[in-house]
Amino acid sequence: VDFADDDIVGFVHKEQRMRQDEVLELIRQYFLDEFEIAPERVVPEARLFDDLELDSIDALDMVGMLESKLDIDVEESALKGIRTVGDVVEYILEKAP
Amino acid sequence: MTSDSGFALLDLTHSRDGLTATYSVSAASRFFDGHFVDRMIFPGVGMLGMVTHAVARTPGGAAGPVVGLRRVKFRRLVETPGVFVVDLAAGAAAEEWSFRISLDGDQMADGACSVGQPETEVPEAQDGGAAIDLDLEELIPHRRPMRLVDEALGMEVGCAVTRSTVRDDWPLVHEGAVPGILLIETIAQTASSLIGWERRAEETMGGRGYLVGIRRARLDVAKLPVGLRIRNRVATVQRRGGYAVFEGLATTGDVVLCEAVIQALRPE
Repeated sequence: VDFADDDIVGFVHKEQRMRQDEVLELIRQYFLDEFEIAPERVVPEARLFDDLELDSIDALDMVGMLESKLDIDVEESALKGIRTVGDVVEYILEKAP
Repeated sequence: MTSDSGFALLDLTHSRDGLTATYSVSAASRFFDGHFVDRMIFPGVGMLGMVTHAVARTPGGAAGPVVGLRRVKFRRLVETPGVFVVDLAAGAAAEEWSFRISLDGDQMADGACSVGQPETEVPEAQDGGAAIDLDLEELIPHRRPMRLVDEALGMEVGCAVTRSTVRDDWPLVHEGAVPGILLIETIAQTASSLIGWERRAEETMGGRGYLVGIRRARLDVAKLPVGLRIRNRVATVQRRGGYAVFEGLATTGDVVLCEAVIQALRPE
């Protein structure tokens, strides 16, 4: 298949968006099941502690879920940089196979 | 209920969608006696005991005792006697209640519970099995009467089995039985035994873990008669630093009494 450069960029972006959507959906479902947070509140810019009112134990539970469900290791150092739902999605996209 | 069995009801006020119950806990409360050996901490199960007591006095309490717990969080350590306020609010379903517990204005715990008819009547089965040679008091800070686990039946990395025998010096004993909610404590003490055993094996003794939450629990029995022997089994399902999550199962013979997923934290 002979893609023009713009087509390739568009295709890659579309693939990334699909993965982002899938990961966001996973997080939304988890937040709904575990914390009863309505999916419409779980948007990329939502802050985990301030907007979604998670506490440090909730955050550890979320990390445990991500590690077991996606078979990834979440480093201690990375946790400090994760503040929003978007940060979680981005981290997963970097780490998930 | 006398205050030394756990707590005493001071006041009960019904509202449109729930109730507020006020309890006093004295220094003589049985919950403080041996919890722990070197530091007085009122256990989370004591607060859950207040919730079960209060729920039974709601209009829907007639539906039965507490049979389920969900998203319970113990937010602070309770180190002194005092007056606790339990606020109950009706949940979405008729048999569900959310609760919030405060002490001197500070929120100590919150969560949700459901009421219903338990699966099992007051059990009569006894649980046998040989104990292993392990002194639990070397592993956990609980002492009698609040040491509710008597002996270890098995211990390996990630899994512990203990046995409890319901005694008449357990808290909340009334007419020869205690509320099933105390199974949360037998499971928690079994998890504490596992942590203590693993840390001793790793030669990292020191520090103490606390029960900080119950993700979910199902209680299949309302009351545990004095003399009942209970087998508690816990398995680690998550661990990160000082935080750990355990699945617990309490049985007698082939009868399941309680299943719970509990969370513990050892401050670094």
